Amino acid sequence: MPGWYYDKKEIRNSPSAQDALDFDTEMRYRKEGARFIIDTGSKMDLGYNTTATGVVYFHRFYMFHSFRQFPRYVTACCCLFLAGKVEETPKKCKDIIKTARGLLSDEKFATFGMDPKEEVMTLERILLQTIKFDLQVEHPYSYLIKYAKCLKGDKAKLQKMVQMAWTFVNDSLCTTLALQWEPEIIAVALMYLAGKLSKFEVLDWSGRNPRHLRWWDVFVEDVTMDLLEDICHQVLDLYSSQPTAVPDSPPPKTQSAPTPTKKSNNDQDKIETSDSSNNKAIQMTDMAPYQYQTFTTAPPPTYPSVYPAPSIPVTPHLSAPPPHISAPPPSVFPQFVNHPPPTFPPVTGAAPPFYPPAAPPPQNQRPFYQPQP
Amino acid sequence: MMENKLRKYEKIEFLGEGQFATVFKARDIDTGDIVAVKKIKIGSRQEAQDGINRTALREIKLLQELHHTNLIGLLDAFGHMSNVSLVFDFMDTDLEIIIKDNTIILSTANIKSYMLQTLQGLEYLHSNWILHRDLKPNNLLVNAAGILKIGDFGLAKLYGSPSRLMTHQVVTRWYRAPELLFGAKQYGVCIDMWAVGCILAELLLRVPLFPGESDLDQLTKIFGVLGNPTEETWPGMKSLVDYIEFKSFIPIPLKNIFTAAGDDLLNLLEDILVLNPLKRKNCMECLQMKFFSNKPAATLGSKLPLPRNIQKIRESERTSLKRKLVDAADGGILSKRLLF
Repeated sequence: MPGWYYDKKEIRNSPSAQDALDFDTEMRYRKEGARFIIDTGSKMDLGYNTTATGVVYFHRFYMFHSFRQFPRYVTACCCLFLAGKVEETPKKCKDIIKTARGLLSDEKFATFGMDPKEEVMTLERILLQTIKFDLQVEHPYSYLIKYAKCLKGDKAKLQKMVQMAWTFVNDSLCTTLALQWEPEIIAVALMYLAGKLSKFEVLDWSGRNPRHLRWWDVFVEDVTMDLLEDICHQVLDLYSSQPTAVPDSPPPKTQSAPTPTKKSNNDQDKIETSDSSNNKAIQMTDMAPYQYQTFTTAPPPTYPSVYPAPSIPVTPHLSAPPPHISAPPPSVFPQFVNHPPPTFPPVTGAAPPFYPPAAPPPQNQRPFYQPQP
Repeated sequence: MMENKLRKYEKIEFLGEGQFATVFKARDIDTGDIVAVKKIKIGSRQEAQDGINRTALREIKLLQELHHTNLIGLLDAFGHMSNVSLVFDFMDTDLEIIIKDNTIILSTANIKSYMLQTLQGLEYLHSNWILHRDLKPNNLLVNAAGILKIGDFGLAKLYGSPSRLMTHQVVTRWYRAPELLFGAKQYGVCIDMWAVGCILAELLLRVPLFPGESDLDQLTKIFGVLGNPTEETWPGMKSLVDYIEFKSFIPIPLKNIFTAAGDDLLNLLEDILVLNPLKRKNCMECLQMKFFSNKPAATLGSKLPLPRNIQKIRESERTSLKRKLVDAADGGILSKRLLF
């Protein structure tokens, strides 16, 4: 089995970096690609699972290929296309391209070439080989729900905390966290962050035993505060704009004469203009009536990069039940969910009595927290 | 890297062609193992409309995480240019061929062995929340060592989500459970169990128990043997979308159909072929039934009767093994020479 986790040094030394693409630009490309998959997916009513799987394929793909060689929006479409089939929510390739067309500027869509469908189809096979046919991907969402059910404290605050954590998980897709840590750990970290921000106090948790100092010790072993803080900061960094001077165009396909970009003091201005034009481009095309719930599209103007923050505008989205992928975390809480968590009571009526108590059965082969012998 | 993969397998012969793939027998050049390479068809533009096909993706996705003696193993997956190929354990034959082969005698011990292996594989599958949804003799593969492996995961699916509806158009008709024929969109392991019951019956009869010619005829054949279900024996049956009333049949005691079967076997069959899906026993319960603990013990894999051409392979292997031993005694180097 291929290892899908990298340390920060490996991520910095990605194929794009070796292809002389600077790190900030690569991170921006990753963020844009992920955001684009999320937007396309939510516009097509694809569930959060499918979208997230597509994003993970996208990040993995660029650990083997350069952004200069494979234009990010084509790859993004291809990842969503494959994820749709894998997660049993298939969408026609031409429909994905049609949706993408609506979301992208002419200039960006030009990277799809003369025959966009053929472009995506051809890439599918490269993608499959690149991700080593490892199609099954797990996401923090299910762990988030599972862990939340074990926490004891103020119910209303718990709900707020879970919704905020859910949103952070959505946003975390725009980072490279999925390349660094297992979904369990990301779930714990972002619950920790959301707990701090929403002032939810964990009074007790089920499965507690004297060895456990923190609530997450029940779920993951050896997760230090440093690690949690690092993960939280990677997500929070999304909300403070990244200075970059690379023009907002698709990466050149030519591999020759790369010009590494230098940061200058003017960058701050530039990025703001490019970002706002970016937003405009998306807003001009008619978006779905509901946006994917996120803090990135509408970050609080002065988002604290150091937490705990006194007050963030907690969840304008809480007022109404958001749709499809922005659906609030299901089931622990109210009934307005569109997406029940996968690990839930068996098929109505037809439940065979032998279901394993903690089903689906253990997938705890992850090396990270194998219990010490 | 991909090109190495291509050279890793050496084509031996063409095995067959399905709707979505061509299958070759091949040799793994590094290990000498015989494998089956399934090359996914790109097909015409019509078929290629949606890229690599979903059955292949399902097989890759599920089989990569499943490892059990009685499930077909996905050994490798590789692609080159626009091709995608899957590499599986090579299997010599399947239960359909064995059932149809008149020269093979299936004793109770043999049947017990096949059932045991099927149920063990299926139990593993079900406990991993996966339904096979296409069990039939043709998909129960058997190798020369007498190991049975469940194959073809093209229709397999995760189950257990209470709100997700699934299609009832699954399972080859003769092995399709009554609730599917009535249009149930929520179902569980019971549909695989029904198919197992039909396969067990077929092992005994050597012909399919319910060879329906249409979906309606299928139900007629089922009720013709088991009698009509009633609201008492199968509560909620009438709420199924495709439910229709059938003329009434008098059940035939299974004893009269399977005259040669012992009581413990009949009990097993009776507990699987139950019309009400909730009353149908699951793999675990079946494996705990008397049939499997009673004598005679299940036949060992190596002793299972197989079609003649495979028997020959088995014998030739035995001789080659003997030759190996002789060679080894002579101090000769064997592996290199055998690889040609």
